[in-house]
Amino acid sequence: MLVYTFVFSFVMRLGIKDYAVFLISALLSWNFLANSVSYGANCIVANSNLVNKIYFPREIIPLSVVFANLFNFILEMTALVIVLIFLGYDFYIYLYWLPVLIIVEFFLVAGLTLLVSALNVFFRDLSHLINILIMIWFFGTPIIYPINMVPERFQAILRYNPMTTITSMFRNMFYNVKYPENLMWPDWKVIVITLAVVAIIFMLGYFIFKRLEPRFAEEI
Amino acid sequence: MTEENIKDLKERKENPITNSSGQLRDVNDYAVSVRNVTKRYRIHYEKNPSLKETIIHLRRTKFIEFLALDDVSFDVKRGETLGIIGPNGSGKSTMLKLISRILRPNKGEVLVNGTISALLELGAGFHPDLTGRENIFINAAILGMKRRDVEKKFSEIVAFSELEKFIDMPVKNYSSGMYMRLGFSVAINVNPDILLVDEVLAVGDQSFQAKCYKVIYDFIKQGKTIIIVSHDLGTIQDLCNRVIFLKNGKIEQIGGPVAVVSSYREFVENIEMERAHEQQKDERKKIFQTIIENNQKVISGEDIDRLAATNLGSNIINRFGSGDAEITDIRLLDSKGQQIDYCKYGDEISIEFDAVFKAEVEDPIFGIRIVDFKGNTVYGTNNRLNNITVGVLKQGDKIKVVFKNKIVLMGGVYYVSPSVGYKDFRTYCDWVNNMLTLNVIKHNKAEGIADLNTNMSIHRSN
Repeated sequence: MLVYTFVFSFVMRLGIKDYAVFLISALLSWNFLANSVSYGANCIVANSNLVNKIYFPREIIPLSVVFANLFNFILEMTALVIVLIFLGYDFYIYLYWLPVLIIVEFFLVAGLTLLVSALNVFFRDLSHLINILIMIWFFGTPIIYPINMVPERFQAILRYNPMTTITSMFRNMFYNVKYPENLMWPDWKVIVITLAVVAIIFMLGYFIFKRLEPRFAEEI
Repeated sequence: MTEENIKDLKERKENPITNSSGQLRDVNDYAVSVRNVTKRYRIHYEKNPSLKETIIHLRRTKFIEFLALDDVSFDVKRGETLGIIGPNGSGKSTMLKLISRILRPNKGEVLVNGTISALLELGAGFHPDLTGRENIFINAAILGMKRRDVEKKFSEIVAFSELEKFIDMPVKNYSSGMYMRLGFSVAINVNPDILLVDEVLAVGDQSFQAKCYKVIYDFIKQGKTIIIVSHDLGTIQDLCNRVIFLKNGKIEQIGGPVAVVSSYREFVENIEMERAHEQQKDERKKIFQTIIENNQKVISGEDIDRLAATNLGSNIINRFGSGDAEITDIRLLDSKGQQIDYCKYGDEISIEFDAVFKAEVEDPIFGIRIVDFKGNTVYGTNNRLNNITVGVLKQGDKIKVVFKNKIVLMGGVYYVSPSVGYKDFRTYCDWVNNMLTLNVIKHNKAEGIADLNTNMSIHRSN
C-alpha cells in the first residue's frame, strides 16, 4: 500500500489529494474480494481430509473463508475510521450505506468463492488462472485511479463491473465526503445492473457448487 | 466384557427387534435402508485433473471405472447392530461412506432415519496447531454438535480420553495414541441415533479399548443402531445380531453372525490355501532341483522338513528315502477295527501302516506326522519317543505299525505322513508325504486346531 501511495503520489502525479486515503477507501473492499477468491480456490482441496472422512454441508468450507475475510475487512475499516477521525474526515455522513454495501459485496464474494472452490476440485490448475484474472479485474476497476480518468466510452463498460459501483460507493463514503465535488452517486440503472450481476453470480456459484458437491469426495 | 453385557447381548440376539407386522417399508421401522445401490469409482490415469489438459484434449482425462458396489440392497432395523465383513476391496468402507453421505451412489438410494455419527477416521478434522481443547470444539462442531452441548459435555469428553494433563497442549505434540483417543472421545459423545464404525475400535491400550467396547455396549443397550466394519471377526460375532458378507461389491451372504462369520472364515482359508499352494510350488521345485543336482540318494530329515513345509494344502503324495523299506499301505480304523473315511471329536481311532523291508536295517524308527491344511505340524510321534525298540530287521520282514489315538482335533482336513527312518534320525528308508487324509467333522462350538473341551462358567464376584 505504501508502494501504491508512493508511486501514485510522487511518480505518476495524478494530482489527487490525500492519495493514501483515496486508495485505501476503495482498496479494502477490493482486498476482501481478492483474498477470499484466491484463497477460496484451494480451500476444498486443502481440506481433503475433512471432505473425505466426515459429512457436513460442504459450502461451510468456502463460506468460512469468506467470513474470515469479511471479519478482517471490518477490522481494517475500523482502523481506517480511526485514521479518518484524526484527519478530520466526516466519514459518518454516508455511513448508513455501509451495511447495504457489505451485504451486496458479501453475496458477490460468496458466489465467486463457491464457484471457484468447486471448479478447482475438478481443474487443479484453475487457481493459477484465477490469480491472473483477479489481477486483470483489479486494473479494470477504478481503485488506484479515479473513474473520471477513464475515457467516456470505456466508462460504459466499467458500469457492468459490479466492483466499480461497490468500490466507488466505499470511496464516496470514506474519501469523497471531504471532496464533495468528486461525489458521484451511481444512477438507478447502474444500481440495477450491479444488483442483477451480483445476484446472477451468487446464484450461479451456489448452483454449480451444489451440483458438483456430491462428487467432491471421490475427485479429491 | 462384563457379565451384564453378555447377558444383555444374549437376550438381544435371541429376541431381535422386529415389529409385529414384519413390514420393513414403514418409515419409522428402519434406521438405514440401502436400495439397489451401485457405486462406481473413476480411476484417473493422470495425477490431477487440469484445465490445460482438458482444453488441449477437448475432454476430460482418461479414466477406468471400478465397480465398488453392485446393486446392493439391505435394511437395517432400529436398534440393530449390523456387521459388515469381507476381503479388502469388497466395498465395505464405500458402503459406510455412502450411508454417511460422504459419497453419493451412482444408482439407487440410501435412506437414513436419524442422525449419524461416523467413526471413519479418528481425529480427521484436528488442526495440529490448536490445543486439544480447541480441537474438541471444532471437531464436535464439524460432527454436528451445538456449542452449548459441547460445553456441557466437555469435561466428560476430556475425562473419557484421559488427556486432562495435555488438553491445553497443541495436538501436534500428541502421540498418535493420544490423538486417536481424543478423536474417539469426541465422536462417541456426539450421541447420534446411528453410529458407523470403521475399524477404529482398536484404539489405545487395553484399558482404553475396554472402555471403548463398554461405550459401544451402552449404545446397543440404549437401542441405537450401529453398523460396524471390521476384520476382527471375534468382535463382529460378539457385537452384531446380523452380519453382511460383502465380496466384490456384492452381498455374498446376510444373516446371523455365527453362520456368516464362519462362511467368511472358510472363504478366507480357501484363499489362503490357494495362495500358499502357489507360492510353495516354486520352492518345492527348487528343493528338488538341489537334491537332483547333488545326486543325493538318501534324503535327509532336514530336506523332508523343508519339503513338508512347502507342501501346503496339497495331498499330492511325495515319496523319499533310500528304499531299504517301503510303506505299502495306510489305513484309518475305528475302535472296532473297521476301516473308516472320517471321524469326529472324541472318537477312538487308530492309524495303521504296513512296511516291507528290502534290506537289513538296524533299529529303524517308525513314525507319523499329522499336519493341517496350512502345513502346521499338529502332532508327530515315533517308536523311539514311545520307548519301543525293534532291533535288527532283515530283508523280507513285513511290519504293521499301529498308532491308537483319541481325536481331540477341531473339525477340518488333516494329512498323515508315515515314515520309516534310520536310527540316526536324519535319513529315511521311506517317507510318504500326506499319504492319508484325516477328515474330522466340523462342529461350530469353538475355533482353532485343538479342542480343549472347555467347561465354561461365569460367576458374579461382587
